[in-house]
Amino acid sequence: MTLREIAKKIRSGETSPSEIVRLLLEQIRRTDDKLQAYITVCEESSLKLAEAAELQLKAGHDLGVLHGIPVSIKDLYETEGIRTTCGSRLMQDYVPKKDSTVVARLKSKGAIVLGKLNTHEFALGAMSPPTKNPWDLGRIPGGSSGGSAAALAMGSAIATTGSDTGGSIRIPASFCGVVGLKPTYGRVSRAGIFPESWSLDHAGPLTKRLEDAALLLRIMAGRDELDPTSSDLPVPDYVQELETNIAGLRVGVPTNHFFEHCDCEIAKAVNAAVEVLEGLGCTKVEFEFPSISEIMAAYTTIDLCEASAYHEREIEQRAADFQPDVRLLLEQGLLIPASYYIQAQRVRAMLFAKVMSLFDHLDVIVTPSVPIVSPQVSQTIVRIDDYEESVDSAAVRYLAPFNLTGLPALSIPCGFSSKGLPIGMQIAGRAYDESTILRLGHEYENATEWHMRLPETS
Amino acid sequence: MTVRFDENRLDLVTAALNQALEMLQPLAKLLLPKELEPTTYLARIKDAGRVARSENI
Repeated sequence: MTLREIAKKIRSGETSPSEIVRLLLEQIRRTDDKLQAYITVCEESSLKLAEAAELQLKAGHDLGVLHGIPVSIKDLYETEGIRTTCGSRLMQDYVPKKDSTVVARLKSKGAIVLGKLNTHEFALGAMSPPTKNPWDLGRIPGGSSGGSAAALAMGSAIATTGSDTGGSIRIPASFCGVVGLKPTYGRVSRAGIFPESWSLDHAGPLTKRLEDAALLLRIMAGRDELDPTSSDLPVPDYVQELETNIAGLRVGVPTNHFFEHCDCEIAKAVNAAVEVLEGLGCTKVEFEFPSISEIMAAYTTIDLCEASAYHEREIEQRAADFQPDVRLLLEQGLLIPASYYIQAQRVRAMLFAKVMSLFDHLDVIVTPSVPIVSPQVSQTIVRIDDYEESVDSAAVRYLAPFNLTGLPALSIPCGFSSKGLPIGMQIAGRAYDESTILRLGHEYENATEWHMRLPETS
Repeated sequence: MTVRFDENRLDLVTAALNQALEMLQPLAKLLLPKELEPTTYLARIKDAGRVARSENI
């Protein structure tokens, strides 16, 4: 059921905010001991707010489509009066005095904060321990927004938020078989969300259905004086725009990088998805993506240097309180030469111009989201044929180019491996043209049934 | 700022840093045009938003 369908049922009296909150709390009680997606569950406050929402709706005071709908928030977003830990010992007692802009906007439309979801510590990793993957509890959910994707797949959340610096929304979306949208840089305010890397961070929704991502983006997006990088461009009605036909769109499929060192089941699933898009009237256009070796070097440099700058004081004073993997990344970032950082930003400027020129001949770019399915919890290295790399490196390889360019990109389920693990397809588009990638994803979702499958553990 | 690494940790950080620097080598070898400024990407993203979107195709 989509969020709009739930909203209709609330207004017709078929269900109520209290019933929905109670069902979700029950699912959390039943599953979260093993899943460990939630850091904080707001049981008492969410039930109270649900009752208040019912009274408001009965009195004719309707705040909009999210009125009485519970949302679960990545624990990197500040939430007024609710502990915000960033998945870190360093923040275990931090209770913000105000909401991040995104949370405030969701609440202004009537959303109820159900709880806070686990993240890899300070979003600096793709594993999100101790959260597990609902499709196989011996595997990781991906990260850093791992709690968000895991809770959605498990049915213990119906709408969530995430953040994405090198793939942190799209990686867990792909591993857990849900929808994850990284909007254009500047489309959604980052105010009140703890940074990993200021110039690469993007906030966005993770949802079960594509229409829900469109709905949440409409509410989350728009200029915010608290984030000077946020855009003042008008925010379209993304849900309404889903109805526009996709026939005639030119779907770019890269011939380099994005299918290299890729699990053959994943490549096969994405190629099959492109055939579905062709069947819906799109035209496949093959092309070469520019400057890949420089892209990954530039992304890594910017991410490490900015993250280390942000955490400099804590590394100096409380290094032992970081998880070992995060501490090592931050220490490396302190030692990278400044000239590399500047060169990386110059590469970024060059790359943006090159990628934008691709869109003279394309409307969207379609690739696998991640070259691997979810690895085992204990795994740190993955091997694809003869190619060996770290899980983190494999996870970001196809996704980070769209953080570096700031272009919008989403991950949507497009199949399952022979082991029953979800496979994600990435759809990227022009700057501020989230509508086109959402339309394409929506029609693909309508034409397929991958989103209907549920993990046995749920 | 002072960051201290004890001997065991120094080895660990050095190994990780060398691995990272190897990956960053493409940056050291680049011959970028002199006129390419590092901050222009932000302006470019803002400008790109004003380009017509692929609606009604």
